[in-house]
Amino acid sequence: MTVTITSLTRSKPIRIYDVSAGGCLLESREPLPVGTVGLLTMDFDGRRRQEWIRVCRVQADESRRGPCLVSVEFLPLEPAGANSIRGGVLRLRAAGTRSHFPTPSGRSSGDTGKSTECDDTPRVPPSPIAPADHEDLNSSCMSLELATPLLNASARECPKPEKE
Amino acid sequence: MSDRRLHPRSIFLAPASAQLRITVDGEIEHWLDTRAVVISSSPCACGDELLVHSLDDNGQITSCTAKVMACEPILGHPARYRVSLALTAAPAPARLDGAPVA
Repeated sequence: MTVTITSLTRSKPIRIYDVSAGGCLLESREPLPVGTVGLLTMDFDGRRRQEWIRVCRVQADESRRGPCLVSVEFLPLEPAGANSIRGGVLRLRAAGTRSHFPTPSGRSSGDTGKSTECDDTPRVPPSPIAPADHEDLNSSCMSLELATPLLNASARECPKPEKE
Repeated sequence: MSDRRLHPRSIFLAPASAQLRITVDGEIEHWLDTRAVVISSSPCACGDELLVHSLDDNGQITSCTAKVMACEPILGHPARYRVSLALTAAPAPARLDGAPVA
């Protein structure tokens, strides 16, 4: 065989903590070098979605053992289609999620501990009966909840803070 | 930083499972039947399952699965690694995402 160039693809199981239209925060058992590019696949909003990502920041303990938190940004290599994670996030937003997503005080993707807390806006208490105008969102979230462990009406969002 | 929090984020109440596929370039040092040795910029762990993409003589993309049998660093800069692979399937035409060509 005369082939000299090849590519090696590894598949790593990861866990995702939060997601936005621009990226997400995930947990990996192994540290991923900053700049690593990969294809992220997850079940989201009732269907399997993919997105090309690039690692922005890595938080690992000094011993380099155990899982580490990895911030990744989505690479908009193509329009946010129906099977993209960006598309799923944008669809949920468009469905009127804002009224369902109270503001958290917490850490952003890739937060190195310097994030400020978000403004405290009134949180919408979970209601067992969905408002009629949010049926579409709730059905999406219910299916999403079945496909993945929880991103539902009580998921939270954080408005963009002042730039550092 | 100017690239942080450009979008509202949604937090999973429990972490969601997902898969991340990472692809790195490699240079084939030796390939005979079901054994191959590839020079890679990324280390691998013994037992890792890899998807190996390559171009055949006709310029067709082929892929096969392989298991890492050994990985040793190569002294020098930048760091590179010699990865010994056991191919678990014969190379077959494939798309870039690894899916076989119908």
